[in-house]
Amino acid sequence: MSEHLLSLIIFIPLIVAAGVFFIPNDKTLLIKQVTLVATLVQLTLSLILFLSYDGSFIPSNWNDAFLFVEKTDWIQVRLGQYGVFVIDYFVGVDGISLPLVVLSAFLLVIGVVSSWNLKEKVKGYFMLYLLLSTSIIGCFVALDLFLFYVFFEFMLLPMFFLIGIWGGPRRSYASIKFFIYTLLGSLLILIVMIGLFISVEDTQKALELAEQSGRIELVHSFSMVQMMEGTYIYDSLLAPSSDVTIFDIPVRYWAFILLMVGFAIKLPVVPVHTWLPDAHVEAPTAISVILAGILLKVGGYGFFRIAYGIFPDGAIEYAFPVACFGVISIIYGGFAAMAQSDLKRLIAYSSVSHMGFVMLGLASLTYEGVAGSLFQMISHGLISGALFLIVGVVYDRTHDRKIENVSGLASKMPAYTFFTMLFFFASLGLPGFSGFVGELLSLIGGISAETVNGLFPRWLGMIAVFGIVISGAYYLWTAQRMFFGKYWTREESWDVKMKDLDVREWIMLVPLAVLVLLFGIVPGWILDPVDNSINFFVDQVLASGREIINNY
Amino acid sequence: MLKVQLEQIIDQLTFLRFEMALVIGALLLLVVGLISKKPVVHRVGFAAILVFSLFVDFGILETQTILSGSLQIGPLESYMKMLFAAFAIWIVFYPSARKQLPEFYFLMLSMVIGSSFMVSANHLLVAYLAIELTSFTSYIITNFNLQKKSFEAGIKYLIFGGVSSAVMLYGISIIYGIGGGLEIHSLYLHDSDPFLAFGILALLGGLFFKVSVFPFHIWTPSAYQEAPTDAVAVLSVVPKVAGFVLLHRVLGMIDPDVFTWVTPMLIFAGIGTLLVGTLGALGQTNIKRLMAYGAVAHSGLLLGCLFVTGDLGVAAFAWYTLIYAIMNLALFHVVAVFEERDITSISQLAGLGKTQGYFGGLIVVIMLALVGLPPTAGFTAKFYLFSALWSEFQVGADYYLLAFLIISVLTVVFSLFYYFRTPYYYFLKSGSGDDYPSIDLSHKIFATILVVILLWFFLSPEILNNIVLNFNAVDW
Repeated sequence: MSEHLLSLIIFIPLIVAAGVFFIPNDKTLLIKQVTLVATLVQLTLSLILFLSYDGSFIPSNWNDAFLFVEKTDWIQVRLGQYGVFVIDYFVGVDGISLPLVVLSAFLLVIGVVSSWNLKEKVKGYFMLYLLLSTSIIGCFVALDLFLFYVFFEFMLLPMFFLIGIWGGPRRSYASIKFFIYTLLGSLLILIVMIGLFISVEDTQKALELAEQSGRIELVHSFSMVQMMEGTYIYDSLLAPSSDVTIFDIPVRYWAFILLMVGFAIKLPVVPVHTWLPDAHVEAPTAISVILAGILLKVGGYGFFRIAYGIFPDGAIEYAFPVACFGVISIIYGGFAAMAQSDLKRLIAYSSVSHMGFVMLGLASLTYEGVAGSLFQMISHGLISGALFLIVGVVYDRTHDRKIENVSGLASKMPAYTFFTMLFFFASLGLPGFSGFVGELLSLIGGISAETVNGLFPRWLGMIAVFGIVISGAYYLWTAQRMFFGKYWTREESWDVKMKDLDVREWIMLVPLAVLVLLFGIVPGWILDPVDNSINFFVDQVLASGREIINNY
Repeated sequence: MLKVQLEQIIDQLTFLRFEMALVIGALLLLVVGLISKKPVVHRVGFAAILVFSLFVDFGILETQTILSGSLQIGPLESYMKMLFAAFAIWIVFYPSARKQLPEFYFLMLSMVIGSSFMVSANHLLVAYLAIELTSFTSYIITNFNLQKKSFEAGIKYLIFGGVSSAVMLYGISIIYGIGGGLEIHSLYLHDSDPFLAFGILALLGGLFFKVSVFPFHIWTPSAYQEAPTDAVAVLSVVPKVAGFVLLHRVLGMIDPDVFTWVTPMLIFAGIGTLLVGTLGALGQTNIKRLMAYGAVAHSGLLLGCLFVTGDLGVAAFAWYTLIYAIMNLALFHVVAVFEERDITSISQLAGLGKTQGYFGGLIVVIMLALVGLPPTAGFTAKFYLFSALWSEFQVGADYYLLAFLIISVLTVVFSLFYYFRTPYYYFLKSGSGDDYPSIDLSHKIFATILVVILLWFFLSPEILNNIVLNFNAVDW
């Protein structure tokens, strides 16, 4: 089983979705149970994956950096003198994708529990949910760029309908805005993908094919490993030796910029973040959890694996702008969050702010920074997921999310207040919670980059520190307005509805709280297994990036 | 001498078996139409003729010119003709086919005949005649609903078409006068004569009209809106594809080093087509009109295939045409199903998702394919085209081409916006969908088949690719 573990994790939801199709519409409980079981199986398998992942080896190059690799032929298109275009079903994990897979599987289970009370069009919802689950996991483990792109694009469709059909009052506007923004991003990625596969060759595959057909052909490969290893065709446009420029910027740098913009839309980074608050506010709670917890991480993962992995020269050349945009996101997102009166919108903007740390840490290309960046993605996945559940709790009861409409909830809902405060503190980076570790490491990276590798000046990281102060301000202010003081609600009829957490909500919040605390106290549980991968990533990006810059 | 020529002509007639089968079949169908008034007879007859012609079309493996160089036949031409016939067969399954007159099928057949000659034409006069045959058929077909509005659209189409073919004929006569011949493959225009340049421009203008390329696309939306839907399906694929093949052949006789304006003009026309199609579609509320603008945008992409030299260009074109044909077949089938229930504007689709979920799912896949998103063959076709354009750019570093590539990629975003209006209203808007009569099982099956094909070509494109490999750039 272990050799097909990844495929099982990807495709179990898809198979179950096909099964759900044949369940009659009115058996809603059965549909929910089947979906829950499918996601639980997915989680179990990904935990097995995590536990059996042996991160103790130090890879020598990208070819042996991945474990649990599955590689089979998928599409081979021959085109005369243009050679063969090879698309493989090629999946595998390394220390960067592994934690994200486990995080996704975990949050997908939480999402099912959170949508347990859904009553309308249950079958359609859970089928789309399962499709979404397949494409998310597929995205994180795909090592063939074409496969990655297919999963990446396919994610949009279920999301569009999940927001558009089951969302809030302005759902149709929000869903189409989400779709168009992220499609624009993925089209930028598509342009680069086309350029890349035309520029990359796979000589080993060429030999294999030659044995079958008897003649040597040029093999164009979509394999990300080949792209990261830099096996470019000599005179191709995206080869390091290429001297073609557009508006005086080399094509390789353009490719890096396009990729960064494409993934930045997904992350999201200021100024292309405007779809996020709308999508979050209108999405149902479970979908908000998935959106904030996982989908944003796909953008971050794209930075790691594709933009930085394949274009290390761009990563070094543009470290300063990337870090700048990170810091702008941190500060702008923080201030924007402070100005919100809608609790869900506030958390959406705080996501923008926290994702800025991912960018800052990654741009620093120091061990601490990159590890912090990855850790921040995991920790933010847990915390923001939990925060959206927290919003869902109050929204379920009152159908209102305005901060000023309630106050003094602490006396009426003590358990709810406890969890809210816990996640607020985790999110603002209090020591002992996972948010602290991620932000601290990213900031260390951001501040030390000047001395370690001189990519960008120290003051950038120092400005970013204010982001934590701002997040402290808006969280504490919100907590004070909503939970403390005299108990009051805008409408008296809400009094009976303001019951404390029920069993389902406990089930969702307790594991998240435990994990957030656990990773805050022993971050090594995540960082130790992936340590070698991160160090390898940093060394490789710096070494090959400098080599390309110096040689060409 | 004459006898030898005559014998040669008789010998070579076997290569025209596809067209002959269609011509004889079309005439028979007219006669049958006089005897029997049962629509089912006409439908079956129409399908039988096309199936028969499909079978006789096999077996042309080598490219050659016949009948003193006036026609060219070969694997690519053969493929295109089979595509036309196979495409036209499917319209008998459309819901509107139930009430069509025998004359309708006669006209459809003559459109296929005209288009086959267009694909084969290697002589400017043959090309002209073939274009006129399809055009006249199209003028009549546009009026076939016999309503005042369709009359208006038909007249508009007729006047534009008449002017454009007059201009084209003028261009041909200039080319004959200065270039010294009419046979396309033996002509090579390389005199930098401004008159000749005008002649070329006039000829290209006439062809642009046929394939609805900017700025000669204006007839398309109203003609598509008013013509019977099954005719629109044929109109949007068969003559258009034939026109592009002919356009490519005509472009082959122009020396790009002398007429340096031709390539940039083509690229600008392509960009203009893309923009006009996508931007025009944004504000439409009528389904057929919206899809007509979408078809204009697709014309821009098909034109893009012609910018790619070499085998890659042919491959991209053959790919795109086939997948475009399947997508349009499915699309207009869905449109016809709606039209049968008097749904013509998009807002009337509101709330149908509640009762017709499965059919809606099929629509989503079709729209995904038209936008060009995975996992559908529409993505593969676009991907192929973009890759071909990129490698062409890599060879020539032509920045116009890069601009075309970037704009064609970006128009995908807009096309998402207008193509997804259909599923958007279908699923996301609430309306009075409850009293909607259920859709026949046969239509669901039909649409499912096409959708499965669209998905299947994405997952394993090798089969299609093996066909495409038979064509090479020298021949087309």
